[in-house]
Amino acid sequence: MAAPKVAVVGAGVIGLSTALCIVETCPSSSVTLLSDQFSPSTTSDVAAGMLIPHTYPGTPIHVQKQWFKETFTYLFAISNSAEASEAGIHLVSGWQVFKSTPKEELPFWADVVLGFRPMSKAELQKFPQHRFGQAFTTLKCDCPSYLLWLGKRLKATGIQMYNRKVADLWELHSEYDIVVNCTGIGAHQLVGDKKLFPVRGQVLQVHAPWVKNFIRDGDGLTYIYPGIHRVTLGGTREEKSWSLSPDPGTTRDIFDRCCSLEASLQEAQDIKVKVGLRPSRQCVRLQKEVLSQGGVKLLVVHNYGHGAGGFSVHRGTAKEAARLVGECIASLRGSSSRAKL
Amino acid sequence: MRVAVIGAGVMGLSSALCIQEQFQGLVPGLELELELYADRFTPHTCSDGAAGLWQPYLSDHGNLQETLWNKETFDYLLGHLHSPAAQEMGLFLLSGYNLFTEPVPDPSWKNIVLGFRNLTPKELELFPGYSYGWFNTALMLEGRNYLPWLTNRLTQRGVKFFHKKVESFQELFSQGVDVVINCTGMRSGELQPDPELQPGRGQIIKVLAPWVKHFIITHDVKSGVYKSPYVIPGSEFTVLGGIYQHGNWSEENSAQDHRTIWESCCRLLPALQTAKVVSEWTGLRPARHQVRLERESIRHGNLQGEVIHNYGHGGFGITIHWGCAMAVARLFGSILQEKRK
Repeated sequence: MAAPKVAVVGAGVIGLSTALCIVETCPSSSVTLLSDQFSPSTTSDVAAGMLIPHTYPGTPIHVQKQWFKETFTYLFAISNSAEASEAGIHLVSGWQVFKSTPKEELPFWADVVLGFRPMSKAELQKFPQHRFGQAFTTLKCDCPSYLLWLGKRLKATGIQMYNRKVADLWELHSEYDIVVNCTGIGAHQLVGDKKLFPVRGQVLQVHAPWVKNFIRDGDGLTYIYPGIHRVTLGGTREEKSWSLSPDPGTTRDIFDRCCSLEASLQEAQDIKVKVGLRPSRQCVRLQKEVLSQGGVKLLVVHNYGHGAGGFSVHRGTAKEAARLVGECIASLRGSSSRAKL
Repeated sequence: MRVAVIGAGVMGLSSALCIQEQFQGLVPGLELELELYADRFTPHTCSDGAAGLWQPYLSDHGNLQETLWNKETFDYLLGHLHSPAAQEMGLFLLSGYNLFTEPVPDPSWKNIVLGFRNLTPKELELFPGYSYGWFNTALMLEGRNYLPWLTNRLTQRGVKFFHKKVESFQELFSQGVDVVINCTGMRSGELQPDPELQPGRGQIIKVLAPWVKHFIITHDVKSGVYKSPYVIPGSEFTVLGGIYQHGNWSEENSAQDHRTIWESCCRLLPALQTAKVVSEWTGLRPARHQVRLERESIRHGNLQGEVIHNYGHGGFGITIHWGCAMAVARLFGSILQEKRK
């Protein structure tokens, strides 16, 4: 059988990393990447890229932990190499603070990040409104840089990338054997997944280079994440809101909440406002599907619905998706050899 | 009463401010005329070259007084962290690593800094060749911001600045100065010979590496302090260092030292290989077995005056400065007390 033709749809962190994993694990395949959005206009470009997992209610914890661990290990190695600044990966330490002690004092990912421990009384003095906290060191992706770096690595493998709007997965059936659906929030329309909904996030990206530690309120709504060039201040979690326009009242509110955690942010300069729609779901849709019409089949692997946790688990889910693509390729070979008989 | 401070590094400026804040207007009828003399002002002082990290040497050699001054400085700065002035002062929190090739006793300052702990095995994987280490959150006080801030505060309070090299204490006494505060750092020997004061020559490379969010200080217990690579990220530039040459008076940058710093820091942090070099600088740490902070009555012919010495802070000037400034102010207070009798 000729080299199986795989199309990856989507060029956010999930699409790019999944395409890379497929090329790495299925070298016999011919991979093409299709997307109507590329960096800097993907949802991933807005994300702060902090490796702090989001918990998916519908996925077993040990699976989520495995995905996070794989992603952390992968990025840890890059952060410690000469490619770190180009890939935009760096370590960052900081604090997660709670106004009231959380039910779960030890999150499932506590032993994956570095140096996780409760904050001391002296450290908590910096946060008079908070009574409990956790200190740890994790990784951060400078998202536009990371996407660019992934794209460069993909191009080096010979993969073709095209700007193309796919209106219906079936339209790809004549050109491709397998389609990998990494369309994030786009899957709502593309495959009509009503379980997928946006959680709108507005963030401010500011110039405040003296902020070197992250601070996150355990409620997940207020956070300060220092990146390579800018500090991301957040945020909001507005379920089912599809608006991509920045809201000035929200900007003011985010700024105030962050300044109450870190007073020096009052001196922040050059405030840029961004909005992203987290492609949210009870669980990540990571599964195979067979589409067929009139005896013709199209194998699909879905990898979308990462919500607030895309960067944290991207490598883990990309590897799983690539494994599913491998299964699809094996089944294609099986059916083609059966056809020969 | 005329008070002259000699020296416009961190000691001179902070001693002047401390005296001003405590005694100006304290005694009705006592007019305090504060003047500051120096031949080098920011950004050309030794203090300007220092990265600005608050961290004492590993051992205080039983010098409890210095440990106390270090603590006073840390607590004073921590208290200013939330003030609107913090950013202007160049003051911010910074976390990071101290690395060793063998276990060492905890430092005298372990309970002064925030969140002091040992490194975990996984963290040590980041630093091949080092088998033991500490993590803690300390403070940065960047000379390039702090010195101008101190200067502004002093100017606002009416302190007069004179750009001039003072050749002797007598020169000032003969002009009617009552008390001299000697903060002449490395060149104190020119005003009064002090064989215990020796240069600890240091060289640093300033680079652009905004992805570095932690200080990393390595230690070679056999070689001694600052002879092992260190990386300290500031608000704009990252300082690379690791040179301490006792007795070397050269203020010229050495190509060999450049290579030593560059190679050892890149080995420590491979990501630095892509960092852009911005500048290089050499400074002479005013090293002494202990800080000289004491009163001296100087008599020359029929001239008499009081001198308060405050020099010999080696590589921990920023770290200890406020404790020393307050000690200087206390000595000044006792001089005032005596004069009133």
